[in-house]
Amino acid sequence: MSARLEKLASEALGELSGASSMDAVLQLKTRYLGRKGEVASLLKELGSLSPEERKKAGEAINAVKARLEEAFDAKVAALEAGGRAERLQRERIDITLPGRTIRPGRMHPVTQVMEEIEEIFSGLGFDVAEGPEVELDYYNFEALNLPKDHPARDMQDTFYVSDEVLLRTHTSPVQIRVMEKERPPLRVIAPGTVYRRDSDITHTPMFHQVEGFMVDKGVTFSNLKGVLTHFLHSLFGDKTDIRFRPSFFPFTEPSAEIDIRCVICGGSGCRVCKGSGWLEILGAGMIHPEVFRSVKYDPEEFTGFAFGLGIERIAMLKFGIEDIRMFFENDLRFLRQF
Amino acid sequence: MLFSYNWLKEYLEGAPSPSELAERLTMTGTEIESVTKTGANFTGVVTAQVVTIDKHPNADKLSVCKVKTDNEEFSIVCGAKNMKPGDKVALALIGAELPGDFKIKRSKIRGVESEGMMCSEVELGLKDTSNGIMILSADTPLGIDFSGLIGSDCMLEAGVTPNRADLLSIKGMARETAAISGAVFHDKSFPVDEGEASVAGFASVEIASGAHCRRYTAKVIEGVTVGPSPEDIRQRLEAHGIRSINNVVDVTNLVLLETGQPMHAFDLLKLKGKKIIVRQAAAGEKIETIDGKERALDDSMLVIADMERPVAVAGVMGGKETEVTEATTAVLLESAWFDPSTVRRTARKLGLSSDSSFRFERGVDMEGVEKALEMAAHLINKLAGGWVARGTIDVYPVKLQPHAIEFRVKRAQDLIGAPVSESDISEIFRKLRIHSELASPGVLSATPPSYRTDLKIETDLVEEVARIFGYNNIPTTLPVARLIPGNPGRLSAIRRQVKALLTASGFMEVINYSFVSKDSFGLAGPAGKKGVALINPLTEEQSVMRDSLLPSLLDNLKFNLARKTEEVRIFEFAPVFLAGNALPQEKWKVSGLLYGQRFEPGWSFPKDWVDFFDAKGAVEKLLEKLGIEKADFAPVEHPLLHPGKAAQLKVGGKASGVIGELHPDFWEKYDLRKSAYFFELDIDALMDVFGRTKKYRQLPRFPESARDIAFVVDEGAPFSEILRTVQKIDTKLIDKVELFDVYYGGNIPPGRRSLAIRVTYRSMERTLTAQEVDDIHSRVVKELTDRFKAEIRS
Repeated sequence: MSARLEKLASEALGELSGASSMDAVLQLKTRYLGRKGEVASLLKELGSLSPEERKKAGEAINAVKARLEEAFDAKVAALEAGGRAERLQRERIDITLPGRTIRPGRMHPVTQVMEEIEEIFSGLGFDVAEGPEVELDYYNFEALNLPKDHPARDMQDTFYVSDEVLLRTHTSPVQIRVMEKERPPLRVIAPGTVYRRDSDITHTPMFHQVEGFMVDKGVTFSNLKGVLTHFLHSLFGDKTDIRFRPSFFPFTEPSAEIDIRCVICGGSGCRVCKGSGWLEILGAGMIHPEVFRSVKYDPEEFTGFAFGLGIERIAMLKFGIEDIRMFFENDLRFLRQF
Repeated sequence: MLFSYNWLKEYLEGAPSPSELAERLTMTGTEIESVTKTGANFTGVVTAQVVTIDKHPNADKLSVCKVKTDNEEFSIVCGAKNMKPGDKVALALIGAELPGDFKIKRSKIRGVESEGMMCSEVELGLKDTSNGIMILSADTPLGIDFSGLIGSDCMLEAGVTPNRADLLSIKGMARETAAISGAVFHDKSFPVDEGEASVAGFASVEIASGAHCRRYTAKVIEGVTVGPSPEDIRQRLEAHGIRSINNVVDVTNLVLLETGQPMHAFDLLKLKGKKIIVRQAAAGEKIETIDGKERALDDSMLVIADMERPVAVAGVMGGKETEVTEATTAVLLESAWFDPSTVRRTARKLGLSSDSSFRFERGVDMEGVEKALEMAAHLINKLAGGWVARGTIDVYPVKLQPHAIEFRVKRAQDLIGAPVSESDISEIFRKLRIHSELASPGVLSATPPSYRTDLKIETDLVEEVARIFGYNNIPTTLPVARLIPGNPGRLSAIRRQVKALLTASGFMEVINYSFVSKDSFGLAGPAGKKGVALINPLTEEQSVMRDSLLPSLLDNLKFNLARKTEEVRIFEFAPVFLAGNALPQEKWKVSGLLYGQRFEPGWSFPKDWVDFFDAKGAVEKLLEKLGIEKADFAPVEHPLLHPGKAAQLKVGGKASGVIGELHPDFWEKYDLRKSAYFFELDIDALMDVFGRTKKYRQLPRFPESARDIAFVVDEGAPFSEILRTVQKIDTKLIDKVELFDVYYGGNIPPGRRSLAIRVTYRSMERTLTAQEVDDIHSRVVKELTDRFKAEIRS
């Protein structure tokens, strides 16, 4: 009996060590340890033995059974571990393939700059107001101290719909519309689309502007400098050099043009700044008393400043775009870059 | 305005250098756009005279000229044809160096030796174009270095703002230079040597339209010899962009440039009745102006007439018939003041702008009219000889009165925000020749000089103080204001959200011109609507304001397809325009267009093409994110859309947009190979309902029970109706109805389709029993069978 038992154990262990697949191991396990397996049939033979021998042989068989079970468990565990490692190895992917995503679209560069500007002024407490793009001559010119036959109208070549109706040449008419409806204190910006009858590498017949104004008691030119300096430093960086130059607009007095140190050449002179080292960015000034009179504000009681800037020009400088017409071609290869 | 630095210096003592002048002018309000050095950039060129011109023996187009200097004669082969014997020329001798590294060498041209070259202005680098060789004026001495004759100078290009009419002259620019630098201004004087006979015997002037002409002065010069001007005058005019005509006309232009006062010279003998009448034109009158064009006049225009006809358009341009020519022997010189609006209106109506009208429109110095006239008479007398009749005709019925402006020092300080003192202000006024005196404590009475027509009110003077004080000397301070954050406004708020949502869905934002061609207008229907057309478009392509964004998006698609961008997903947020009352109606729209593959082509997505439901899905997602719940879609007819694949969006029962597939008829027009899908939504309609406050709904505490049903119905039964019907069966216990399969073909008969829905049952109050669920579910099945003739498959 014990010799048979030993033989069985060594046979089983030998075959087990030779088995390389889980299937083979499970088959062996059934053969040796299954309900009708070899170990079980040895146990059945116990009945024919004397009680004494039965006990001894039973213990021996159970010991072998335990040994084999342990060996099988170990083999299964080893095979499982090896199998997982192999599976993981098999499941390896090329992690350098491009990722899968629905790519988001982009906002037009003009919108991006516009929103950035709106945010800066929003932080300073400026509301956003809008008005019609097809405007009355009155709001676009007359109420802004630009009577008919005024030579300053030459500064803005205008598209007309009729004698009295035109495409607004700036968003300044919004200033009048807001002031007609509301009383100071006012802090407002008016972003929007404007039109001028002009077309070349630096002009398109349609472009975008942000106009802004502040009216209250005691607003000064010094405040204009403060607000616009803050604005330009927010937009172009704190270290940007700024200069204020006298200029002329019929709706402001004193009027100013505001330049920043050329962002392309740093001031040494280049094609973009036409050799001057400076880039004109903003037009501004103290609101003209005639403008206040046209909205029935008393210029002795209130003062204010107004300013305006072209969005495309800022976008061109920020992104290094040389031809303004690119903005309106809507070439997706262009738009995708921003 | 372009002006010569050397000319400016004639009025100044201690003038700043050109670059310093440019900087100072720029920082006081007159931007100098460029400073260009001019003058001789050559050596070895001398003045010479053509003696003879003979044909070249071997070349038809060349000639061989004998040309002499003061002491030598040269043989020159020349290709130009504009010279004749006796002409003075600029002769480049052997060894001369011309601009562009061009060295003159002894050479044979077609077998004939040439000992130099007669130069054109282009060859000398003096101009960009020229017509043949340069012919110098007859009084040019021979044999002198031509570079010395040209001299060197600086031309400054100034962007004079429309208010500063006084800076449109050398003299005005010199006065300004003195005010903003340490230079001292010295006026010039032009004494006129007058004859015995009084001007009254030669001509008379009548102003019949006093409002439009407040002053008219005239002088008469008899016995003039009209001919070319001397070289220096011609060059000076040409450097300032004016073509030399003859010595008399050149003087009028020279005076205009130097003083800013436009002048006109008439041939006195051609003035009928020897009389000048300043009057409004009669309707139907015509005049041929000196540019050779016939101009139709009307009664809003001011003319200078003689006894019979208009002889000049006042302040704009003279007439051809009375212009000064080589035959002229007597000249009537005009120097006048015309009303700026009148001149501007007239010039605009005639589509004619001149150096003269440009200045009159902006306002000339009424008090400087006579002085300019004297300068012109002096110069004509000097250049064209003859003699000047005694006296001046000066019709000046209402003399310009100096206008004192009250100027409050405190007001200036308050407006500027800088402590500019009374003495600072007085000093600034003195520099600007504004006469000021203390009227009362803190108040000055300030009288600007007559040429500063722009200074009328106190604020005008505040600006003068600020600009001379220097903007960069004014402190930079933030205003004191309430701490209230900015309000973006409703349109701006929805615009930001819509743009953010659509870009997140993969759409690129485009911006198109608001004006389109007449062909594009109305493409999106409905027929017969009235648009907004421009009177003066730049091109036909941009002549009417668009009524829909869709044609623009289709243009963008075509443009990108032509550039091999095959996947196009774009949107635009902009207003459209339709005729209205006083102003057109402007309605904000957001439109999107989809074309090409659904997913970015690549290794990881199936190759599928966008369809109607991609467009609809984009709209649904947008509505959901905007918090708009009550949206319905119904079939619609739309001229741009496929009749079977077009939906109208209704929000709260109101038509708010369309979605659909482009009508196949348009494929060819836009070079499409597949269909395009788009939507256009009405922002006003969305704005009414968007962004309502969100409200929390309790989460369910009791389990749900879901049942699937697949059934076959007629294709004509819209899913939305089936959905609504099922939902209405029990609004309390039916929690969700979801469509999870749509199937055509196979064993489904034509005209029918199979739909599969999952109905989720749930009570918010208790757990439903199986029996309860079975009961409602059988009602659902019955309703489907009864109402929609559904054949239940499972």
